[in-house]
Amino acid sequence: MEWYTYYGYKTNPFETDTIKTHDELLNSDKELAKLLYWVESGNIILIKGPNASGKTRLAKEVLDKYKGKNKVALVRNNKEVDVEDLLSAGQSKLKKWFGGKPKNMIVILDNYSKIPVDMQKRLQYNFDHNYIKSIVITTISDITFIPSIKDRIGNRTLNLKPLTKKKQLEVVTKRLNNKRFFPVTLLEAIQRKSKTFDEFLKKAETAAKIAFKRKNKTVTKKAVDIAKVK
Amino acid sequence: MTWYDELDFAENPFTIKPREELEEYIGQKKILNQILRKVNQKKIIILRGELGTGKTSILKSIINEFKGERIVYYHNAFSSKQDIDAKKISKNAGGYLSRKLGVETKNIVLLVDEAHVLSGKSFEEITKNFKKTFRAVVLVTSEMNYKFPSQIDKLKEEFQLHKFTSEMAKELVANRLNGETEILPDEMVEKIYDKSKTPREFLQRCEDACKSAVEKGRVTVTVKDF
Repeated sequence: MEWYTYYGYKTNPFETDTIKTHDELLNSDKELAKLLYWVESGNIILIKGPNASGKTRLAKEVLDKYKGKNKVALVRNNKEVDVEDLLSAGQSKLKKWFGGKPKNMIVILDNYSKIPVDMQKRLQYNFDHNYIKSIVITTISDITFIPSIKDRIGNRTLNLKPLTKKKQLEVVTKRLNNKRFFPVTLLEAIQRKSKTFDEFLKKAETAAKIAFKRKNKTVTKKAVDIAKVK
Repeated sequence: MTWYDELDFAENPFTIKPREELEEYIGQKKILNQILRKVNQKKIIILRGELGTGKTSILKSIINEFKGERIVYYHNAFSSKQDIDAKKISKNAGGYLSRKLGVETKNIVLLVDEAHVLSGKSFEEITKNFKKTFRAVVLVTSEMNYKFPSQIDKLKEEFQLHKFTSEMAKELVANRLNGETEILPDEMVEKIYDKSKTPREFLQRCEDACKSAVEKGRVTVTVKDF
């Protein structure tokens, strides 16, 4: 049995991958509107921001919007892909055999710090010829783009600010459903000891796992103390 | 509903992607006709142009010009994993049946996009098969200073797309908006042009301005929109 099942949760409330979670969108509505418009009108879009600024969460909005129509491909974490293979991955064998390629796909490159020149060139070609309608790239750092890609991105960039500590805590308490199982004061204590949001989530999960091991009804200070130093 | 949906456009009129319908703005049509003349004279043509000046659009127009005659082969050096292989191209150019019967097509017009990326082997193959498999070759590049290999250099005729001017900007907008320029009048176009460093940047700014105006319920762009 998973620790979170024991405490009544269907999924891990301390999940760090926001593609998998169902958090409310905490970025401004304006940024989402811009993003969805740019995706619809055909652009190469850059979403920049530090850890826990909501980049992947925004990309998830695009993923969810186009997912049902088989129109979106998601690649993550600097994975090098053959763009042609990526685009025809969702197609039936028959279509592939006849050499047809789908048109107007959305490609999401989530959490990239570098994209090989060859891959950029293939993306450019497919974008220009409308096999790809739009490309969304999320990044913490500055990616080195070839000039022709940079020119196509132009001003289609979103610069996100990190979530405040208050907002981060809000995300977590919402996921926990405000059950008494993990006291807010203890969550705050862990947050204080964490440098990043991911670290906060991982430490909180460790404390929960310790409580689970001991079959505690709630997470105790003792569990948190152990987790803080792990 | 997007702003361009509201104005009854089927798609984003300021798209930065290459278009099949040639822009009527000064220069592009003239260059296309000059290139077509040289193609008919069986030459090797080099076309240079800065980013976003419409090179790929011109290539698309050339393809359209010969549409149905099956003699144009478009090779994008960016997307191709292989070198140019004249035999392969000539076998594939004739279509499915010709391919099955092993019939080779000659007199193909070879169009190469991003030609500065081609390997030495590809250039050799082009020179070797020029005037045989390939009746004419059009090499396109955004690299203004790239020097092609000497065998190509000796045979070539060169063209350059004009720098993007304010007049061209106005014609471009009129073309994209199908003549309905109430939303973006000339004086606004000039102001947006002055702020833009490349044609694509200009298009993006036009798009942003029109979007802003329409979303605020205005029929025409004002300085507040950009």
